[in-house]
Amino acid sequence: MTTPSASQPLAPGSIVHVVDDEEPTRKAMSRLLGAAGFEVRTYGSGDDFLARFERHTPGCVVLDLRLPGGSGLDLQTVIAECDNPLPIIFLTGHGEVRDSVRAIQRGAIDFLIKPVDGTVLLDAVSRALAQDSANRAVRTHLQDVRERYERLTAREREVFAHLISGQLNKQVAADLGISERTIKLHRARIFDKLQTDSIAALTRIAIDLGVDPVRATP
Amino acid sequence: MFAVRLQVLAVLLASAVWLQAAQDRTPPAAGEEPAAPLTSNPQVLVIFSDDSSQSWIRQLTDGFYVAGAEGGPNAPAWYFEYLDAVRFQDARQADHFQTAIREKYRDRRLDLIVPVGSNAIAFATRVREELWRDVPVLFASYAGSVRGDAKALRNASSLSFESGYGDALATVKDLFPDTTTIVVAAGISAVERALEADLGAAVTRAGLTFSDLSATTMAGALEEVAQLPQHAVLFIAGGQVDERGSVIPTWQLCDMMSSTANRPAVMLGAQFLGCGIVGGLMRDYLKVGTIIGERAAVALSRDRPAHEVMPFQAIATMKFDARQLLRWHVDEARLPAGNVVEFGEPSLWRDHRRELLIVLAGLIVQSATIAALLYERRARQKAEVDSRRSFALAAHVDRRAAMATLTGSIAHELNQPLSSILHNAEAAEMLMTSNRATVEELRDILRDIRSEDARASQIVQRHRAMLRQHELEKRPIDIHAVVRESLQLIAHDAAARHVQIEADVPQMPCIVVGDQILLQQVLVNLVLNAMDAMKTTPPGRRRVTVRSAVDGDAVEVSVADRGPGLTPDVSSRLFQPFMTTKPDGVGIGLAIVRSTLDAHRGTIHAGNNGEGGATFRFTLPLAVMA
Repeated sequence: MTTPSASQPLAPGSIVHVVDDEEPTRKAMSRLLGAAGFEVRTYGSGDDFLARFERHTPGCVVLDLRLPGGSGLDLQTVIAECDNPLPIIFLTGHGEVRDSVRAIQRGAIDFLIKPVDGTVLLDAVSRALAQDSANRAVRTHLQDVRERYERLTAREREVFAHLISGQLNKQVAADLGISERTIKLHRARIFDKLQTDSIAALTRIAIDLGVDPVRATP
Repeated sequence: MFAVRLQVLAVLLASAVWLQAAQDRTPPAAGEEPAAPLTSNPQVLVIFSDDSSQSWIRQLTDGFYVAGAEGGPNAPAWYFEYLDAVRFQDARQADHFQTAIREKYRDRRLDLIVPVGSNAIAFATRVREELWRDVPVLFASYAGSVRGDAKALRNASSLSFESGYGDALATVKDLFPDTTTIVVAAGISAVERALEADLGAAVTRAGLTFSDLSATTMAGALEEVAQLPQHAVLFIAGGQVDERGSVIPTWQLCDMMSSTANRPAVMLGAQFLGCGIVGGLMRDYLKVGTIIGERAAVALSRDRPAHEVMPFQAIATMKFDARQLLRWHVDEARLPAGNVVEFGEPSLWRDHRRELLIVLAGLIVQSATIAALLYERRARQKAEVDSRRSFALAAHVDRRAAMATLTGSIAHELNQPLSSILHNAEAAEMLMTSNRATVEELRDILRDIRSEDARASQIVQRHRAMLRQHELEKRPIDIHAVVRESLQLIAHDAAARHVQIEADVPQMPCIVVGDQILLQQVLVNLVLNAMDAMKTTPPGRRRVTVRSAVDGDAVEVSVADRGPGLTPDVSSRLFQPFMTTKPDGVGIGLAIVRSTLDAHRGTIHAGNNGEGGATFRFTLPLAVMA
């Protein structure tokens, strides 16, 4: 049995949320995760969890697939709609293959069959927390890029879409019906606002943000 | 019951016949006869000797209408006048009548005069010259011949009928072979005297002794007929007017005489059958009237007068009164061929042969049905005994089937305590490894492990009870607890099927005497059925509502689903064994539910609920507290 504190790099203040309607199960799981060094909160129902969990605190959810008053799958849907969706580890009895597949398809990080071995559970929790950290980093970066992009004027966004399509300044000017000199001025301002200096970097930003390039007119 | 039904039938038939007869008797278009000058149809004045209320006179006029109906669109229009000569014999009365007739028909064109009967013939003969000089006349006499001076008149035809006395007396001899004497009762009017003379001659011709009543009063006559000679037959020929001149209706006369007489009575007029006479070959006045009417129509279109005598056969009818035949010990088998027997004691077989056959057939069918039902009942009782034996087994098989459905729940339920035990043990191990374990915490962990183990064993017990074959075992139990426990068995399966189970079951115990396992099975079967019924219901809507509530001296448990509900077809066969709507179903679940509740003196009903689904409700009697 490994102790995560030694091997797992944990985001500070990460919380493991355990949602299970059976009090003895909650207690045992909390005890095990606590012994392994995780900070644990327990909830008796999906509603209880939604009412109490802190949305911006990193962590993960250990969720019983069968919950009274709405299944674990329903709770997964609600969690996925958050800004920072927490990774979910599903726990289930056997024989619920169809639901397992659906849970995985919708982004569950793990799907464990009860009774689950302590090591397996702790590994899954560690992976989920790591995943959460990575997700948060990506989301922070994207948030930055989006904020910068949103500073562009409408005309600049138009020029941006032309530039990432690989057109030369001359072609962009012809397409938009303005002078090549004006295009050059717009381009400098775009580079400045997005804190970059190459068309390649612009293209990366466009992909991250899902901005479509303008299709070249023949 | 049967007799009453037959009486009703008889009454109905009788009224139908009466109605029919009433319609037949209504003179066609009597009141619609148009004002004479306007009609081009021949107009005939018929003068009867007797008064219009006499039954044979009514039959005669009916006969005229029958003849008229046969004449088609050119049928004569009949005018009927009645001399009532028996009561008005004074010559001055005839003068008054003549005046009245003259005034009445002053503006009518008459094409033919038909005097009927000897008094009318005499009257017409006298007034012919004055009233109807040029109008043709048809003299008609149904008793005796038409007098010669009448026939001799210009443009006068005559029609008479054989008296038929001979034939009538012959049938009397047929009926009563030992008859030696005919005692004739006749009135004192001139006509009746003449008639009596004719009859007397006929009696003598028939080789019988003629005798008449010597009494001149009704009372005397009745005394006389009560002491008739041994081989006599009373022939009632008339007697409308008694010595004081008052008229006795012939029917009443006949009734009094024949009922008082110590010997059989006969009459010539067929219409009197029923008044007490035996019957025989008699004169049918409807036929007489019809024939006179027909001859009148002929006379209208004929240039030359004709004189005709109708044979008695043309107007005769042979009828007997069954009651009199019985009274005088005449065997119906001895009656001449072609007879009609009326007033028979309602002989069921004779009068209602068809109805009887139908009723009999009905009885046979009914008996057969009863026999079949009895046989079926015995077979069913036997089957019930058999089925009670196999019930325990069937219930067991059904429980196993239900439990097979619920295996997921067994695993799931056991997983919970097993997981807890495992995690607790792992946590303890981890704490001890890292030297962070405190005695208090370890004791806590061990206590939880033990309690989880107890839970696991309870689950195993519960399921094993459902799986064990088991005899009916009644004890006081809390039905609400049974309901809750059943829902626990189902809970996992319900979640897997996305079915929400809503339970409204009071905490307060409700004691019934019953078999916990079998009642649990009832609940499990009903809830499983409810969930099966919602396969096509959208997952978000799938809900089974279980309610348990005390109502009077019974507790009612209902299981409602939100499926498509029960079709009437399914409803009616719901609790029959092997009835199933599921492709892989055996159809024994609800049959077992029913049997179990029967064994608990409970009831079960199914119906559709307001949410479109079905609701099953069962009741169990509450335990009587000692």
